[in-house]
Amino acid sequence: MSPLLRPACIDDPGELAELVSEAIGEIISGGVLLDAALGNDEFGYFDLVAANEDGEAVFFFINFSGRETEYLRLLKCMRWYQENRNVLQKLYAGRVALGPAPSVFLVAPWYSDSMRKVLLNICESRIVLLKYVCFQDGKEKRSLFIEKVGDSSEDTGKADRLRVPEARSEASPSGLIGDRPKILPKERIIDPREFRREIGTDISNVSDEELLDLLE
Amino acid sequence: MEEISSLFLSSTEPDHSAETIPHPAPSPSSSQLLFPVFCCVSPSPAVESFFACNLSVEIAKNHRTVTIIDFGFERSIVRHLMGYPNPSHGAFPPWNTVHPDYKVESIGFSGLPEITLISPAMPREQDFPKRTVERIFAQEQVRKADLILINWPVGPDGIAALGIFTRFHRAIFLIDDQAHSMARAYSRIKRLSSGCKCYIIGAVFGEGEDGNTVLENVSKLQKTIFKHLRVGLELRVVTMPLDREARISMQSGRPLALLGSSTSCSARAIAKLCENLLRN
Repeated sequence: MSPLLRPACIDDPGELAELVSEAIGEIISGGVLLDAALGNDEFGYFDLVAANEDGEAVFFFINFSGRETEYLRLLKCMRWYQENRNVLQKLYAGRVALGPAPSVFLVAPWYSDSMRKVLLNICESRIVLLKYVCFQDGKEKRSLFIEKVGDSSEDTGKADRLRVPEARSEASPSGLIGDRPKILPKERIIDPREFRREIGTDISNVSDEELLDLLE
Repeated sequence: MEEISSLFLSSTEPDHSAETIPHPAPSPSSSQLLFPVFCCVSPSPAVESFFACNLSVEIAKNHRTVTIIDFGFERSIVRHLMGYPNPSHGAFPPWNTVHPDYKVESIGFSGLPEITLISPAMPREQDFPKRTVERIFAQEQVRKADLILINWPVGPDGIAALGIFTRFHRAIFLIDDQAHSMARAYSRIKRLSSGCKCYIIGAVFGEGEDGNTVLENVSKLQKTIFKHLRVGLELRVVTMPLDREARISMQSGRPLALLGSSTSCSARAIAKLCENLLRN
């Protein structure tokens, strides 16, 4: 007989982070937890850092309370990350590739419609919105049920447009992180149309092929 | 990096571009012009004007006739950098010629041949008519100049007077570390490829900046030129640092080439570029 599960409240953000970290392998296929609380209080921090099976960094931002003001911390730590990416890449050298626009998974108990729209368009990164519900069984063991309620790459094709597939790690997902071969940083796919719009002057005599030769 | 490094490179790859890039023959009646400058530094027009006016002064020191065509429209940065005030509309001294759509001015420095500055008189918002370009290039000061510097070629890009530009057989492009300036330079090199045989790519970087990024961009530009344009093009790369003295010169309206600074690596780079031009 299946255990009877009852909805439960989580009072401790640390406990929620721990439960999410236990579920990382299910949230991200082949995902491995690397670190927790990357950043600082002043400039914001990501609650969890993980690597997917391709060795790419995935950040988790947990909004324990669900309050919308908490997303200011997300904005701060996104900026902090951009400004410190090179240093962080050294910190995680050989363990995970830190791209300019890493995937960010948000975990919150709920999202308003307006906030969901904002979050899915907040930056170039792929943003995945995860809603959680906590349950506990008769022995008061807690577990999370996590549901994906939004994905910016599905809405806009952002991830496909901005990135190229990277050489996959030879190591098995379950292998030790330290055994992974060094992973090269991800390259951006240049969109010639976007570049032409940005440049603002006539380069119509330059073909897309030539432009890509120049820019890549 | 302080010294000019000239890399003489020629394309030896097969001409894959001949079928796709039109190469109209230069008009037999038009003479080839010695050395125009197309500046492609992004994002600062002041920087390209700075190099244009300093190069012109350096060439003038060698008793050559220099004409600058400045497409800076109403307010010429070159004029300002030469230490001349920008006159209000219609207030040019009588020895300068003001045409309805462009003006011809003489800029003099003690002991040097006069430098001619030609600039369009029309507001920036107006289209730049083809006839204006033709008239400017029919000017005696342009036809007889040893060196013509064309600054800020936004105007000619937007007009249909490309026939004139096929008369140039050497050109200079300045690029910085921005991908935009690299793309603009390539676009213009492609437009000029029917007439030009030799290009100088000036890699501009500021004091304290890492010049490697701009040199990487130059390398990409070379690679693309060799891959997509015809064989026989000659490319030279020079490094053009912008040091503290250059900044002071830009702010003070006094050409660096006249300051006689012995410590400025910008001044040395400009002098060596001038030597290089006159030697060939």
